[in-house]
Amino acid sequence: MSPWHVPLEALRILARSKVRALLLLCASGLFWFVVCQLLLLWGSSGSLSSGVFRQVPADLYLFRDTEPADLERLRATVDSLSEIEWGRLITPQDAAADFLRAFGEDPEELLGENPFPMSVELRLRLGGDRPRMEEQLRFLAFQPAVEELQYSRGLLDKVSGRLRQGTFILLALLLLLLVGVLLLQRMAWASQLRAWRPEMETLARLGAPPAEIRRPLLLLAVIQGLVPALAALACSLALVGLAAGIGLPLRAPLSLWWILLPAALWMPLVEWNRQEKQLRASYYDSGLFESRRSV
Amino acid sequence: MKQEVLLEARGLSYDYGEGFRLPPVSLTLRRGELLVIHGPSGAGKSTLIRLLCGLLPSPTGRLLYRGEPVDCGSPDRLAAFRRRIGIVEPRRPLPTGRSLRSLLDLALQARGLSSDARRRQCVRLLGQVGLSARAQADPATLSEGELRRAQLALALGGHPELLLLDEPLSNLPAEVRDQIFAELKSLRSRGTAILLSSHDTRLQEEGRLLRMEHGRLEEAR
Repeated sequence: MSPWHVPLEALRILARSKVRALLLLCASGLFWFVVCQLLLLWGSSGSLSSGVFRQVPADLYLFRDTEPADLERLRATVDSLSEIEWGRLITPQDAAADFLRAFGEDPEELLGENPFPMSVELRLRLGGDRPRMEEQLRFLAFQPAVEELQYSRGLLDKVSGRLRQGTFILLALLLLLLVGVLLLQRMAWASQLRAWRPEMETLARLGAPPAEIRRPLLLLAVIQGLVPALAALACSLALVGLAAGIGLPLRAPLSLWWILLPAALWMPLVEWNRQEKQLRASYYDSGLFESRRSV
Repeated sequence: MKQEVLLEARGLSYDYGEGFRLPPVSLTLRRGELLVIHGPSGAGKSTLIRLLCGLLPSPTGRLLYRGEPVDCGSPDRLAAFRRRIGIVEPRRPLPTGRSLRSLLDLALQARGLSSDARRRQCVRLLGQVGLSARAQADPATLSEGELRRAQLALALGGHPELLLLDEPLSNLPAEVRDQIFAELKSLRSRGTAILLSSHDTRLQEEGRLLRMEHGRLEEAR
């Protein structure tokens, strides 16, 4: 068998069914894009929701006589808590400067002294575990340096509810799209296989072994699996870059091999199953042969 | 001296369903023999040829090639058997969208020929069936007679020991029929065994004639 035979025949199948191949590439590309989006949603729902709902405030007000050692311990505790994305120390001077920027008046001039205590602004992981978050906030409230914890439970409830609802709707839409794309992929693939059937039948009647008949189709399946997956991955990475540009940090398990390896295997596996029936129909008349026996 | 038995069918039958059945049929075909199966339409000639090349399952009997049973249940073993025989089914269309030469090359690859051998055989086979001038033509553009000759060229690739031909001469112009007829005679003289179904009376003069009627096969003379 010539080494060029397999790629040449694969190209011939592709050329014979251009529209079907395009449909299949689009369907596969969409399939992998949806998979990438599901991975994105799964991997970065916490940071995404924290980024979107920045208005949910949680602040720790500290005692005026807090020792630097207590402050350091508090910082280490905040860093160690899973449901707190980050904490930012706001000194009385920072708070006064913020007041001046917001209201145009210096609080020290108005009141004769700086009324603001030292505080820590917390960014919560809103997509995370809600009971654990509350437990960790309570834990922070009892730290030696902390005088008071302020956050709006009602607002937090509302945001968490909306977030859960939004995630569920998005997930349902993506899954629906995935099913539609799979059906389209299946249809286009079956149609492409049918276009190759006269060759399969001729080769089967001439005594080509099944493995040889399969080879061009399997190579084509690998190409048609990899190209759209690469395109979908590139689009998704571009989306991550775009989101980072507007301040939405997407953290997702979007690894090249996580996508490419299944993409390279998925189509040949589907193809192998589809070929079974077609190959049998090619070796025997009208697929009538059902039993395995010597005649 | 009698030639070696190439193909032997012992009690092959076929169930069409709805009560229709091809009764058990037995025959032998020797090297260099021409066996003509003659009979009216619907007698079971095409079914018999399909049974003989493993395209249809037989619920009874055995098919032997050179004394060995043919395992029709395994596509790999069936493929090995088919590489030694040539089949012509006029009703089966050829793949289109490629040149006749490329199709022939693909067929010869299926027979396991090397690149050089394929190139030589392509030229020889196309000349043998009188289609050298149409080598670059798409099978979709071939006439009925040309198609039949192209099918014969495909079947002859790789020098099969046995040819199973279903009505290879029907509905063809006299000139084409003469060409194919001459080719079959030449193949037979070189030791190829040929089994064909035909209405052509001249072929009956050349080989052994079997008459098939209502699925029953009997010596005509």
